[in-house]
Amino acid sequence: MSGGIARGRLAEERKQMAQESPPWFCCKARDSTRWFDEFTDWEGGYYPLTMHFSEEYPSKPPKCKFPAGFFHPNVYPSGTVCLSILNEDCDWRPAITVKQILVGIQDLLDQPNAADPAQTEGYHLFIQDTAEYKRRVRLQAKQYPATI
Amino acid sequence: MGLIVQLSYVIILSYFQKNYTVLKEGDIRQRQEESISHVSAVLSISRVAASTLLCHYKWNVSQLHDEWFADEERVRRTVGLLSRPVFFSSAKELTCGICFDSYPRHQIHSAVCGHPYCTTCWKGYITTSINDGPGCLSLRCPDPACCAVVDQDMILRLASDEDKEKYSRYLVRSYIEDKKKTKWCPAPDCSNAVEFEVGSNVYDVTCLCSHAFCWNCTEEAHRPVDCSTVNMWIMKNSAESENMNWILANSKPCPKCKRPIEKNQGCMHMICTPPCKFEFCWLCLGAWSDHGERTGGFYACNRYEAAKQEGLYDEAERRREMAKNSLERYTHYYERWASNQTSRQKAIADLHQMQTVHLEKLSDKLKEPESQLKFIIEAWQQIIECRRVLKWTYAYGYYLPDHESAKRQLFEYLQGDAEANLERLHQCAEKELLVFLGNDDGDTDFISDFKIFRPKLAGLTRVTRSYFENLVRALENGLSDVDSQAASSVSVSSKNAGAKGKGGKAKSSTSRSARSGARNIDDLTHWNCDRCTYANPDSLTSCQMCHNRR
Repeated sequence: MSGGIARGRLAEERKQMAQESPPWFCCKARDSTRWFDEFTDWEGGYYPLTMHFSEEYPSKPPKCKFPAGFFHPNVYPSGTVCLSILNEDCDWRPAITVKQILVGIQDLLDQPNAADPAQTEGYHLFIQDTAEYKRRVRLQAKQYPATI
Repeated sequence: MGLIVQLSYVIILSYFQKNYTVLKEGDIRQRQEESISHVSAVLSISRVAASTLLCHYKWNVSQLHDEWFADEERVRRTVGLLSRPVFFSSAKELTCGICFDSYPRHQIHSAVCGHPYCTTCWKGYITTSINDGPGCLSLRCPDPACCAVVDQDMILRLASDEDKEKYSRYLVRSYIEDKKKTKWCPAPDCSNAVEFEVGSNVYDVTCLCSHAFCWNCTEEAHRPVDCSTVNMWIMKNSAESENMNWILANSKPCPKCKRPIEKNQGCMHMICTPPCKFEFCWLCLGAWSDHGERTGGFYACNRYEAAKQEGLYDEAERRREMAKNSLERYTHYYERWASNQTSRQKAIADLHQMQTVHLEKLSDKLKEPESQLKFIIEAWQQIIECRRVLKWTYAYGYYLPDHESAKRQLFEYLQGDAEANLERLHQCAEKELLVFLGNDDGDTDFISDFKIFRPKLAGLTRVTRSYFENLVRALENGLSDVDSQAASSVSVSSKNAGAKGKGGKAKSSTSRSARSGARNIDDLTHWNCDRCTYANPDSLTSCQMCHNRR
């Protein structure tokens, strides 16, 4: 995509999100978005997600990262989120917006995709030991408390 | 009689029945166009839509027809050929779904679904997709929830010339690569494809570029050895080739004078330069006089005898010894495999030289048309083919289990026979022919010498071919003759009572039966030599080929 679209489009998206963003989003710093999730084991946590947009956005998807070591079957040890719509060789389309990505990641948090594991620990607990898995998720929610 | 029938069947199978078609670039495009026209006519849809459908159904016309007529709606949905737009707006200005800017209607484009995007964003979307690979053939609308296909027309309208070129190449490639019956010729710079009759079990195919390869695994042709053995062998070679490189390093010391020798001619018969002039075998470094007839036709150079060391070593030394032996064993087979490979390359070059330079000169000198000298070309072609087979039999031999000693004996016997004959043929084509290629004029001696040379080379070609056919057939049967040893030995010994006692040691009775098939081919005015199977006229009492007495 020719240069310059990335910035214009992101500005437009921020404008739209300011108008209609769901209550659980909380855009703070320029690139960072935090939110919590209600009624699940993930409830109460503000999980910091960094989205890195290249100049090629929206031709190429942004790279989405939790902190390194984040506990979730579909998050790589580096913190990178493994999600098909975030993969340019898979389901990414340029018309996907930041809002849609965030909704997609939020869905992924509580409904991991067992067919596409990205880390050993989270994956094994998820399929073998549900009780321990839930305990670890609640523990992690406490590690990322609301800061507002 | 059964043997004769079986043999001729093998010959027909390998030489006349062609179970594949080579497709040139033009043929491919033409067939592709025909498929598109056909589908477009039968389903009453545009050519572009037909092309989209065919890409999705991997160019399988009948499957496409079946599914289309079973449930057209479902096919349209999966492929993304929508029949009506899902997004419609009558506004004068529309917002592009990618850059979110507003544009007048004429600067906005959409696929059949109607989702609006501006020219710049469409171009970017299409360029990215084409540069990402053949996935662009099934490009969908940029809207994440929309499955509408972005068809060929739209891509060709908006893409740059360079990208259009890439796109149409992907389209041709998909026609070959997506179909089960077609594959590209793996030779570098060859743009032909091969269509194979699925169900046939002979996988060797030869492209019009003269590259022969196995259709199943696309390695070079390796009949009679199967693909998994070849695959193991190639893996092993790449893993150990570093070792092999310095072990073999292209030169060997002369066994007599110890000067280093680099092999530059095709056959294994080496003659050291004067003053040494020692003649030896390149493979075993033994004297050449120990090979061949004088020792009773016993060609032992293809055999690997592991030195057996017993009990007196401590454990560590034993393990070292084993590692060394296994490396030596591998080296033995690798060396023979590689030597035949280089010999084959040389033979290919020699054949080319013969066809382009020597044949014409020779035909002038002999005052004979070139068609009369075809036997020389045939000899070289036979050499090239045999070197290829022989090469792969060494990979086969490496993986033949040691404990199946009967099979191993039969294999080594057949391979040894075939190899000995090939060496004779190669020597005859390479060295004896040299005499006739010199500069001296065509005097009477020259012509009468050639009269003797002609049947000799032709005969050697024929004999070698029949030995290799035996070898190929035996390996393709998995050396199963060994299992039916008892049955065949009875029938053969009664028929060929006179053939006993020659070169007895290594010959099992089954291998004799395999040879008798080749022996009986000719009619009754000939007798077949017991040693080399050459068919001699009845008037002679000793063999023209090997001078063995009748």
